[in-house]
Amino acid sequence: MVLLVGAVVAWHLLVVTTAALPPESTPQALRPPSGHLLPFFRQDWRLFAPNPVASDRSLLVQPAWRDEEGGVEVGEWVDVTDIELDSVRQHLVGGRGGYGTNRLTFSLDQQWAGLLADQQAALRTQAGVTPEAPADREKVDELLSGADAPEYVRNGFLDTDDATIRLATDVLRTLEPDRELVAVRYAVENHPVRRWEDRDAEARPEPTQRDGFWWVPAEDDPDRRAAIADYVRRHQ
Amino acid sequence: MSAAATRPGFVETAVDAVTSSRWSLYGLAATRIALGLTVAVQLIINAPDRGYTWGAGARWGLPLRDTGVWADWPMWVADAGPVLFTTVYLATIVAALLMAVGLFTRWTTIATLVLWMSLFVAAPLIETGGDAILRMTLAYLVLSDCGARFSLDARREAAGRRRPLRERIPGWWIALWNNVAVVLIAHQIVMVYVGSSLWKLESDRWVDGTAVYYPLSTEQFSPWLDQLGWLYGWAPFVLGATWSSLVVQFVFPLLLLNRSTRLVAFVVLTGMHLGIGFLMGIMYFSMVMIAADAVLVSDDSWRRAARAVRTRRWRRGQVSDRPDAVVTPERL
Repeated sequence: MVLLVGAVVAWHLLVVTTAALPPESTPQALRPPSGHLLPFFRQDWRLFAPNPVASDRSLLVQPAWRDEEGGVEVGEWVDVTDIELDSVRQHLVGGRGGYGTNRLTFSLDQQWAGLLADQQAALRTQAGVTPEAPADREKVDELLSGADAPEYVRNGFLDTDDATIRLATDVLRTLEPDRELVAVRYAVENHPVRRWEDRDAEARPEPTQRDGFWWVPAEDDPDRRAAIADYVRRHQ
Repeated sequence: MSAAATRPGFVETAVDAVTSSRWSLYGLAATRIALGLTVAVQLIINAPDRGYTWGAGARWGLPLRDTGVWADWPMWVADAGPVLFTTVYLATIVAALLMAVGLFTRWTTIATLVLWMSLFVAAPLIETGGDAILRMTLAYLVLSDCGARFSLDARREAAGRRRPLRERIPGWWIALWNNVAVVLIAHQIVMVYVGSSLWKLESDRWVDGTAVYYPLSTEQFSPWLDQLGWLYGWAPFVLGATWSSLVVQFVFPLLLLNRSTRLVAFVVLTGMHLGIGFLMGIMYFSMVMIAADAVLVSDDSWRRAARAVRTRRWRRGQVSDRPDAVVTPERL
């Protein structure tokens, strides 16, 4: 019995060891299958490596409201990450909720980078998508489906955008609860820090911004909206 | 019969080593206490934001959650109403505190793990390395006898109010699984440090000694940027912090081979984690790492430390009886 336990433990240690090291450090032939480690025992210990975080990434969201004449009025960008950072700045033990959109912006950029050039071009032109005629998931899927891209890439992009629009919808409805939200879009702002060599320079490099396109606001979930509204009011 | 014939072989010696005594009981107890407090304090501090962080507010991430790596895990907390969610949240705090004080330790460790995971999978987007270490260490702690020291269970057992585990389960079986847990936790910690250092060596910024400057110059990983910005541009600080963390992580397995270097590793890493936790605003990660590192401190080291403290108190006249050879950390 003891020997059997020892053998299982030794195998687990070997699998964890090879999974925890960077792929280049052990030959592929010596790496046992490690799929069973996922997700509970996932080994990803990059921890600010290889390249440490070197920019502030923010999620911006923008509303399009119905105006008094029945038209559409585009509102100002709202920095959701800045709201979240209120629970991190000058806190010895920061709020866990303060990192949600920081992580989300990584996913958004990753999904965007995973699209084919044709798909990115189709989304950039945003054929027919305006604040007055925003896209729904079906429309975006249609824009992406022209190119010959794997389905999982398309779905990954759609799921990430879909999640972002839910958050954006609830944040914007919190800020102006009495207005009718017609369309929503997000942007990812990337603001690099000064390079080490330029650390004494007066200003940081200019931020870049990648805009998404206008989406139909997300379906309402009263519990979700109430929890997000509560958070936004306390940290705005 | 010759002496060679009666000498035990390697396998017998190894089997005897893992089944005859339980390793690192004080270290496991310290890990249990620190993890329990980390979970409880984290949830208490985040209580006002609980709905946004793990509750109904986190449902905006539903499309990602349902297709991510945790999609197969039960999501009942994520879909629960506010009352049930808050009940689970409070239950997690209670379970973690009971685990920390060591009451019904094995059951409260299991409860802490299950309840924490049910909260965690509701918002996997905010997962950190600390969450990964926390869940793995909790899972390994379940196998261990981490309630044998510094616990209410141990007190109740000593007072005869609790039937010892060894009366119900064979001692060798308890020792085996306890020691397996120690090996698994220690190995996981080593792999975190070694893996992380090898990833760092792939970047020029870590090798040239400037890596720490970058996250400390962002708003998102530098909660004290307004007050301490001057420090983050000071070359000796940045170089020292970058290289010391790289070196100590890389040579960590070697430092474990000797008692005195093990102590150096533990002290340096604890300082490094506290520094990272404070300066980068990731205190939960730091606390979890310090808690897991505690397993690496042997019971002999705990007893020596206890004896040193006891001797100092005796010299100061704070205790009357002269310290003997059997001073234990419980008898300070």
